Parts: sequence; C-alpha cells; structure tokens
Amino acid sequence: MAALFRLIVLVLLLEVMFFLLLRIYIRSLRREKLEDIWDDRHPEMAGNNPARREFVRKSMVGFEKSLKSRLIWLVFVIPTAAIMAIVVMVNWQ
Amino acid sequence: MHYVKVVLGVLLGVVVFLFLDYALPSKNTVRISNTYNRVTPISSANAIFYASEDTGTVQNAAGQRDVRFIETVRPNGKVFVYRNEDTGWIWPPYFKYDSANLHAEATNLRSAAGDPQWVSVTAYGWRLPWLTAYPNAIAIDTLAGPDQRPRNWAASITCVVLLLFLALLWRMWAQFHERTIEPAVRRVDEGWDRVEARADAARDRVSDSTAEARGRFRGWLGTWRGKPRK
Repeated sequence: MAALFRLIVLVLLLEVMFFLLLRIYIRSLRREKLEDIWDDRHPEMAGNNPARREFVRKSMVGFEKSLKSRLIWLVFVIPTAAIMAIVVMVNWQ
Repeated sequence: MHYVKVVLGVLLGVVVFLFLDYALPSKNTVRISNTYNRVTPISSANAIFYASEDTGTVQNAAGQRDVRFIETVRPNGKVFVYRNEDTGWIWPPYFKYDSANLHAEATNLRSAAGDPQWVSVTAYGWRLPWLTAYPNAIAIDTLAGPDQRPRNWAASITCVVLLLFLALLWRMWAQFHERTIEPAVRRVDEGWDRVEARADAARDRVSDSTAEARGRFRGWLGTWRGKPRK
C-alpha cells in the first residue's frame, strides 16, 4: 500500500512539473506569435518597444481560457489513464 | 575533442538501446513444458534483475526467495526459462500483481512435444545464465501454430511515444534558448561592450594626457641642453 501511495505522489509530482513546463512553453509560443503579428501590422514600430510590449500584455489577458491552454490539463489525465490501462491490461486477461 | 564526443555519443546510444531492450516487452512464440517454484538465492550482483523487495516477495535471512519459473521450448528446439514475479508499483512500470494467476494459466497451458500447444509469452528482461537472471513473464496468449508471431504493439507504441516526447522536450528547450537564454546573453554582451567602450575611452584619455605630459617633460629637458651650435 505504501508503494502505491509512493507511485501516486511521484506521478503527481511529475505531472505538476510537466504542466508548469508546458504552460511556460505554450505561453512563450503565443507571445512570439503576438510579437510577429504586431511587427506585421506596424512595420514602422517593429522590434522591442513599449507599444509592442503593451499589445502583447493585453492580448495575453484571456489566454488561460483558450482551448490550447485548457488542453494542457490533459497532462494530468493522459499519463494517469495510461497507467490505469496498463494495470488493467497486465492484470486482467 | 571531436573523437571524445563521438565515443561518448556512441556509448550513450548503446546505453539507451540496452535500457530499452531490457525494459520494453518482447514476445516469443514458445511451448510451455513445465512450471514450478524454487527457492532462489539472490545476491547483490543480480538483485537488479529481480523484483524489488517491497513488492510482496518474501526474502529470507539468507537472501533466498521463492520464485515462480516457467520453462518453455522454442519452435527451434532451444529452451527458454522465464521467471514470474510481481513487479510492484514503480519500476519497471508494468504494475503486475497477478503472478499467481499467470502461473495458473501457464500450468494450464503446459503441453508435451507430441501434442504441442503454442503460446506467445510477453516478457521483459534478459536471460543471463552467468548472473542467474531471467526475463519476467507478463502475459501468455495462445497461438494456432509455431509460425505465428504476434505484433509487439506495446513496444512499438512505447517507442513512438518516447520519440514524440523527446521531440517535444527538444522544441521546448529550443524555445527556451531562443526566447530566454539568447536575449540574456545579448544583454550581457551589450553591457560588456559598454564597459569596454568606457574603459577604452578612459585609456585613451590617460594615454593622451601621459603623451602630453611626456611632451612637456621632453620640452623642459630640452631647455637644459645647450643652444644648438652654429
């Protein structure tokens, strides 16, 4: 029973770690995309400047609610489901 | 340096291959000839090839464990021995705790050479006779004949998932490098350039003033010389 508990804690820690890493990753991708959009729209104000930073900041406001951002929660679902599937497949014929 | 890198890369590749070869399941078409359990000595040398101690297997003070074995014969006549042990909850991640059921199944599928019942045994691990290591059987499926070789879906899917995972990690690192490390390096470089420019300017100032001072000193020395002879 202690071993099962250890597994649950370990898997949960790994999942939290990957959730945070993926979150940073897709936010970074989105910010890069927004910067490119700004540079396309305002070629005369391209590059790192306060106006672009403000645009990126405003555009990132609702990002947690977007589908892409919500899909990261699958990090908690897929590995856990995979482990359960392995348990069932190995132990039930 | 180039050769060191090549050697290290090859070694890493070999280690990864051996690791996957050990940990991924493999399927073999065999005929089960016998099943039994035997008190097996487990030393520190081969303990890594057996289940860890907290998985329900009882080990006595002399380091012996009652391990279930499945003896099999391959279609080419060579024999192969599997052990049948629970894996526990962490490593390797098979989460197997039905070894008693599997053993009953194997015993039920025993057959003689005259009237063979071919089965596919899924197992992970290596058979190393000099270390008394046996692969651990995971599942047994009945087959129609000795030529049947079921596809090893579990290992294929695991390999694909691992590759995708590696690609994701690589993309994440590339993004981090591009967006975080490179700008930081650039900032440090720019700062350093500014420092250097200031240092250059200061040095120029110092050398200018020393040159000026030297010029004056020379001029002053010149006043001590006698007048040029006519």
